[in-house]
Amino acid sequence: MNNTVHRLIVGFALVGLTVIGSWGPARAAAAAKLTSEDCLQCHDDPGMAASKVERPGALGATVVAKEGLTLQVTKSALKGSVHEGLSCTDCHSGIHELPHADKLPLPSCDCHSDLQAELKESVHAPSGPASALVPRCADCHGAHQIRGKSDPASSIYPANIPSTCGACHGNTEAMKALGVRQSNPVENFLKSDHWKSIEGGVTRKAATCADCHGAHKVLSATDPKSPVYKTNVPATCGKCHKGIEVKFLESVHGKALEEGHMEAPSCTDCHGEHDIEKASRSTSRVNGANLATVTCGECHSSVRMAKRFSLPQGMVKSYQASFHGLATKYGDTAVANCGSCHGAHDILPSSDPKSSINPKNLQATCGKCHPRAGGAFAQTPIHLKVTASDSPVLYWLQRFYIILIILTLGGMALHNLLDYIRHYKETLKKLRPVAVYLRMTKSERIQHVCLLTSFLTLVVTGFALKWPDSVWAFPFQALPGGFEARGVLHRIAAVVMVADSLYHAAYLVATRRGRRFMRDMIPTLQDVKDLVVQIGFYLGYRDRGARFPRFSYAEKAEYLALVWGTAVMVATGFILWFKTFFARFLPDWGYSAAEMVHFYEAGLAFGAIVIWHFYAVFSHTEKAPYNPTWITGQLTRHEMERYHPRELEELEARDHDAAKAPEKKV
Amino acid sequence: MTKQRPVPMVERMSLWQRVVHGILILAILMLVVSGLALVYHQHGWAQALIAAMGGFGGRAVVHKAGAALLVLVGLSHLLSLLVSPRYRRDMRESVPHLSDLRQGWAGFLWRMAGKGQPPRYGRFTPMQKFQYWGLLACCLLMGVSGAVLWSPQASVGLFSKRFVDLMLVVHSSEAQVIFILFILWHLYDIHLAGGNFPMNPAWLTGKMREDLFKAQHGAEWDAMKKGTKE
Repeated sequence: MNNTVHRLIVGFALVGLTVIGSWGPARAAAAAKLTSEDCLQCHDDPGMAASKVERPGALGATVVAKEGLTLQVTKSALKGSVHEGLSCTDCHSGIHELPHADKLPLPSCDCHSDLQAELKESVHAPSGPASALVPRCADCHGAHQIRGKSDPASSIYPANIPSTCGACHGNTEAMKALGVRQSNPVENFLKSDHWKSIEGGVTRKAATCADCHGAHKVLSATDPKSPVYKTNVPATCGKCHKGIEVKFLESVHGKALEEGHMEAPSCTDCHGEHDIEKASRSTSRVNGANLATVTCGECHSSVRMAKRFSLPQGMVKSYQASFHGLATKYGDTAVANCGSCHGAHDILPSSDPKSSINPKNLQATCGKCHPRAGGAFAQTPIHLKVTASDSPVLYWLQRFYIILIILTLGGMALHNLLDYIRHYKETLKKLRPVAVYLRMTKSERIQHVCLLTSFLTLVVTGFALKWPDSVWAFPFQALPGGFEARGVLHRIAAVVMVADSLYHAAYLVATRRGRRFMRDMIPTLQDVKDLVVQIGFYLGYRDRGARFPRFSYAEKAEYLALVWGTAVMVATGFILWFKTFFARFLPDWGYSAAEMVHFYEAGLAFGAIVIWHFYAVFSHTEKAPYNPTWITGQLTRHEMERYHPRELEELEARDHDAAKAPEKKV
Repeated sequence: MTKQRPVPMVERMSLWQRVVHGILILAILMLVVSGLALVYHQHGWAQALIAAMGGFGGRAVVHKAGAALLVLVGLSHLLSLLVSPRYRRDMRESVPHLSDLRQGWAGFLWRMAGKGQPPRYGRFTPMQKFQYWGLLACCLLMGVSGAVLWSPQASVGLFSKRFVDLMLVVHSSEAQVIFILFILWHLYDIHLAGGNFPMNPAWLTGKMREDLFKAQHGAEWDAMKKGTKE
C-alpha cells in the first residue's frame, strides 16, 4: 500500500499544481491590472474547449471533476455562483502580465482563512503522506459554480452532500488502500431514515454527513474532540433530538458512559451508525423484535460483561424462552420486548425508585398490558430461571419429573422387552414342528454379523464426528478420551469390514456354495418382469405377486448396492485415513472430494439399510416384527412358500429327481 | 398364495366408543404436537411444526382447540356412564382389584422367567386399568394447570407469578410423562404386544382376533363361553 501511495504522490508531483494549455500565440503583456475581460479575450474561445484542466484530484469523481473544466471560460461562468462579481484574478492570483506562465497555482481560497484553519486540523488537512489525495476546497464546493448551502443546485445542499462525500467515501476499496477503515458509510446512509426523509422531501433538516461529522473540521471517530467520538455522540444527536439526550444521560447507560466506561452504549451502539432506521421498521436495530436477539442481547448475553459489572446473567435467554420472547420471535408485535418493561433511553436499575422495574412500579409496568395484574403477581422474579438458587421449588419439581420420566421410560422399556421375549419364545415353540430350510450357513451368518457390527459402529462413530452435539454422540463428547476413542473405533470397524469383505470375496470364488451364491445373485431379465408384476400387485392390478427365486430383485439390488457402497467407502476412507500419502497423487480438491463422498455415501448407505433392508427383514416373516433368520439361518416352509416360491419349487424338483426323502432339511 | 379363511373375531368396542376414541386421539395429537413444539421450540422440527400450524398464534389456537375437544370427550364419557349400561359394565370391569396385583405379579414372573402359565386376564388387564386411571388422573392435573395458563390476562390478576410458573413447569413436565407413560406404552400394547403386530384393529373395526382375545383376556373368554357374559 505504501508503494501505491508513493507512486501516486510522485505522479501528482509531476503533473504538479499546473494548468497545461495548448494556447498558441503569446500576447504582449499589459502593464495595468488585469481585468476579467482581458482573460476572456483568449479564454472565451471555443477552440480552448479541447484542453481539459488537469489538477491534483482526490480519490474519486469529486464535484470539481464533475464540472468538467476546460480552458474555455465563458462570460457567464460565475453566474449564479456566490462568487458572481469577483474577477478572475481574485482567485487565480499571481498573474501580473500576459501571456501568463504555463503553470499556475491552484486558487488558495485565502479569503476563507477561518475555514482554512479548521481544515488544517481535520483528517482532510493538506499535509501528511496522503496529502496529494485529500480533497481541496473545489473538490467539495466546485470551481466556478460555487453555491450556498440553501441552494438546491449546491454540492453542499443537504440532499447533495451524500454524493459529494460519496465521491471518495463511497469507494471503500480505495479508502482501505489509504488505511481508512469504514463499512460502506454512504451506501448504508442511503438506507437510513435520515436520508429517506430528505429524499422523500419530508424535511431538508435531517442529518447528513456534515451534521454529525462536521464540515471542515472532520476528525476521526477515535479522536476525543470528534463529534462522533463515543462520549460526544449524545450531544451530537441531541442537537436535533432535543430532550432525549438529557433522558439518556440520566439512565444507567448514560451515567456509565459519563464515568468513562466505554463498554456502555452510546446512541449509535443501539441505533446503528449510518444506517439508522426508525423503530417501527422491522429491519431497525431498535425494532422490538430485534432487541433481545441483536441490540440488547449483544451486551446482555455477554458473560464477560455480566462478570465485569456484576449484571444478572441469563436474562436475555430467559426472556427468549418465555411466552413474551417466543411470541416476539414468531412476529407478534403486541407482546412485551426488552424495552416494554425496561424503557428505552431512560433505563434505570431496579434499585432506583424511578425505575419502571422497581418492585413498587412493577404493577404499573405489567399493568400497561395486563390491566388486571395484581400486586401479588409481580412480587416474584419476572425472568424465570429454573435453577437451584433462583427458584428451588421449580428446580426440584423439574428434577423430580426428569427422574420420573427416566424411571418410567426405563421400567417400561424393560417390561416390554421381557414381554416381547416371552411372546417370541411362545411363537417359536409353536413353529418348531414346521419344516425348516437353510437360508444362511454358519459361515454366512458370521460374515453377516461381522458386517452388521462393523457397519453400525462405523455409522455411529462416523456421524458422531458430523453431529457431535447429538444425544447419541454423547459418550464420545463427554467421556475422557471419548473423541480419540471414536477415531480408533471407526478405524477398527473399518478394518473389520475390509477383512470381512475380502473373506466374502474369497468365499464367493473358492467354495461351491459361494459360486452358487454369486450365480443366484446375478440380475436377470426375470427380475425386471418380477418388478413389473410386483408393482402391479401392490397397486391392485394383479391378484398375486411375483414368484421370487432365491434372491428377489430387491435383495439383488441391495446386495449390489452394498458391494458398490463398500468399494466407495473403503476407497474414500483410505484417502482420509492416509491423507499425507494420497496427497502426493491427488489433485488439490481430492481430499475434500473424498471427504464429501464419504459423508454422503454414508448417509445413502445408512438410509438404504433402514428403509430397504430393515423393512424387508423385519416385516417379511411370519414372526414379524422380529426375524431370527440372521441367527438361526432358517426359514420355515411357510416363509419359503411366501417369499421364495421359485426356489422351493427348484429344491423340491431336485429332491424329487434324486428321489431322496429327507430333502434340504436341517 | 392360498386364500385365507376368515379369521373368527370377537367384539371389543362399540361404534360409539370407537368414535369417542377417535376424537380422543385427535385431541391428544393436537395437544401433544402443539404443546411439545412449544417445549422444544429451539429445535428445528418444533419450529417447522409451529410454522405448519400458522405461527405462534396458530399453535395456541390448535392447543386450545385440542384442550376443548378433550374436555368434550371427558364430558361425553361422564354422560355415557349415566345413560349406557355398556359403559357402566365397562366401568365396573375397570375397577382396580386386589387380584390385579396378584395377576400383575404372576404376569411379571411369567415374562421374566417363564414361570407358570400366562395369567388369564378379564376384560381389562391390570395394565389397561392402570393406564385408564392414570391417564384420567393426569388429564385432571393437566386440566387444572392448563386452566391457569389458558388466559394470562386472567391469571395475572388471580395468582402470583411464582404460582403461574409452577403450573407451567407442571404442565410441560406432566405432558412428557403422559406422552411416554401412556401414549407410547399404549401404542406398544396395540401394535407389538401379545402377537398384535402389526396392529390390534379393534379401535377401527371394533373387533379383535379370537385367538388373540383368548390369549390376552382368558378369564373374559371363559365367562363369555359360560354364558354369564355376552
